[in-house]
Amino acid sequence: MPIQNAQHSAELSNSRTNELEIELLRTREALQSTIEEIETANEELQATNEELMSSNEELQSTNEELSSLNEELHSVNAEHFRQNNELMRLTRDFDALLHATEIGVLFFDESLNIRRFTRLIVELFQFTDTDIGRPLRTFRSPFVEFDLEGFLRNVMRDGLTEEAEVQDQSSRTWLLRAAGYPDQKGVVLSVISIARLRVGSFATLHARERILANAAPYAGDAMMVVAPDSGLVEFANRSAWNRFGVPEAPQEEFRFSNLTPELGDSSWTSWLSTIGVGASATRLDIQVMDNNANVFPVDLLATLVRDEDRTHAVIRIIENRDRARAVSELQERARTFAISNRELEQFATVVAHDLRAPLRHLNQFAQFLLKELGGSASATVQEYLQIIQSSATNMSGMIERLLEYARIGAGAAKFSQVSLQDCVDQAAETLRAEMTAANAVLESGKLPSIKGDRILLARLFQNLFANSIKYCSKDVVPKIVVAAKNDGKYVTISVTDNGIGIDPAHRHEVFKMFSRLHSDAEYSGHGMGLAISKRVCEIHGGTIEIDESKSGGARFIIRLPGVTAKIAKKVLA
Amino acid sequence: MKRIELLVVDDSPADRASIKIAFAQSGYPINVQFAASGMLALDHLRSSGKARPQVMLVDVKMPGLSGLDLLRTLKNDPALQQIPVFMFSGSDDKRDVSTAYSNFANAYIRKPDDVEGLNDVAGVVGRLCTTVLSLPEH
Repeated sequence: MPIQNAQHSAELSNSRTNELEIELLRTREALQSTIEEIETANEELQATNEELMSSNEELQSTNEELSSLNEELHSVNAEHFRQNNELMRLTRDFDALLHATEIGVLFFDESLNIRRFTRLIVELFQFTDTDIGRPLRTFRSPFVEFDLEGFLRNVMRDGLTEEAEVQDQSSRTWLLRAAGYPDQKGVVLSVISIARLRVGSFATLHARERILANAAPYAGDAMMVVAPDSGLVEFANRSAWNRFGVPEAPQEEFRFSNLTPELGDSSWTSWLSTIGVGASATRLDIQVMDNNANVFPVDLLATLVRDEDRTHAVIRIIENRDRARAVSELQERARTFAISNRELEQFATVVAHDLRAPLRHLNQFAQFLLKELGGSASATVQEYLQIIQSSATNMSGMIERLLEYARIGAGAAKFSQVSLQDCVDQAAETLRAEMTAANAVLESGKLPSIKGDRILLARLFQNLFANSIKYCSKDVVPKIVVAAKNDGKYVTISVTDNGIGIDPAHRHEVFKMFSRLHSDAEYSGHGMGLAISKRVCEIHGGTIEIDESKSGGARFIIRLPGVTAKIAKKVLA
Repeated sequence: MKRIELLVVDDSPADRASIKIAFAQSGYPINVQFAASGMLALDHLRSSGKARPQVMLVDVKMPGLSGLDLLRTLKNDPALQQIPVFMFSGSDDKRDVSTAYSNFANAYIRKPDDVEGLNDVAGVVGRLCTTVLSLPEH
């Protein structure tokens, strides 16, 4: 069977091949479709991939957008932060301003609920912080006879600004000023104390200081306005700040006694209370302390003024520098006066000397001429020559007295303790011949000692006694009475006589130089005796005058400093 | 009586004239010489030709070398200091008087205003110089 078998085997192989071929075909077809499927899937995947890619791109751009948005947000945030800070600062400034101006400010919303207020309002309305948001009508208005709510509603409705002057329960006057918000969503009310304004707000301070400066003779003095009942400084001028550190408008309590380390509040309030309105008073040599803590004496001048509310004391500090300056000016003036006085005396001396020589010659040569002519001269010539001679003699007498007068003030006066009795005795001794001739009587009471120049004082009495003897009726015995009174400060000496007296109408004239009330025919003289007496009194810092005498005679009253003669010494120095 | 040489120093012609008259009328044997200023007086005293005065009458107030200046000069000059000097002044100013005596003036005489007074002075000085005082020799 191999052939059969072979045949059979061939046959068998053919059929297997066919079978396999068919299967292969089938498989190929299946593969083909699978491939197609895969390809399709691949295509789909590719599309998806593309979609994803684009999606990714989109996301990326979105991401970029987001990050730029983020940056923007950051910068916006920073801007907000800055603005917020600015706003906070502005609010603080605003608050500070409101407090500093001492103006009460109230903010309301459209329903007149309280939104915000300042310190002054707290005092006036008794608000607390928890009152924010409450309506105004739940509070009692501090202002009497004034519809505050109606006032505010009108302002809010019209969007305008309105003012009103009102009074509180304590009769203090306030200025109300309300302004509506532009959107009619609220109103702001400012409350200003007019009384405070009148005393010392910033607005009026400068005007007041100007007035004070104008009113003060020394604009440079420190001046301050002080409440007389409390001693608190209300306001002060620039000098008070510069010299004593007194604030121009004290925000805190500043007491006048801060300046006076030795004197407290009560001594100032009690002093100021004694001054009437419109009146002034002074306190001298008050110790004050300046900016640099130097304590030194000043004078104070306080003037009390009144405004509508109450009284204020305007206190001016007069520093002793002023007084010292015045004193030094006075001394300087006294010095120049003394110089010019000396020059004048020198002048008088020189003139008197130089005038005397030609007068002497005039006199002598008139005599020589008279003698020379002898009996040959006519009576008229002789008379004329005698007139020349007597005029010359008279004039040299006048010059003599003028010289004496000038010498009194020439610094020759020597001051020491002098007994007036000695001076009177000396005068009487000098006049002994005249007194004996007239049988004159001199009576003197107890006379004190003073500081003076013995020679000049003796001369004073000598002149007065000589006058008493000279100006006496022929048939009367001259009687002179000297008396003295001593009140410690002044010694008053009276010299009284029983002579012909001095006509009251001429009492001022007799003390002038070369002043004469009588002709030579009645009473001779040069009219210098009393001028010299007056000069002696003045040199001693005293006075002389004429008083009425009961006897009808003359009565001289001399007043001389009793204890010391400082003034006279100074003038002479 | 010896004749006395007197030197009068005075700047005023009128005073010189009246002094001359007064001494002439006094009757005393006095030769009066005159110098019109202090300097001229010194010239006179120091020149050899002139008669040496035995006594001097010197005005106090003179322009240039005053009477007191002249006095000091004289009293400081050994050759002249023994001449007695009578100051003769229009005033009796205390300071002048004391200055004069401090500087060894021998007298201080006030010039009289009238002729009687002047005659008195001439008489007294004449008598002093010629009969009372002993004066240095020429």
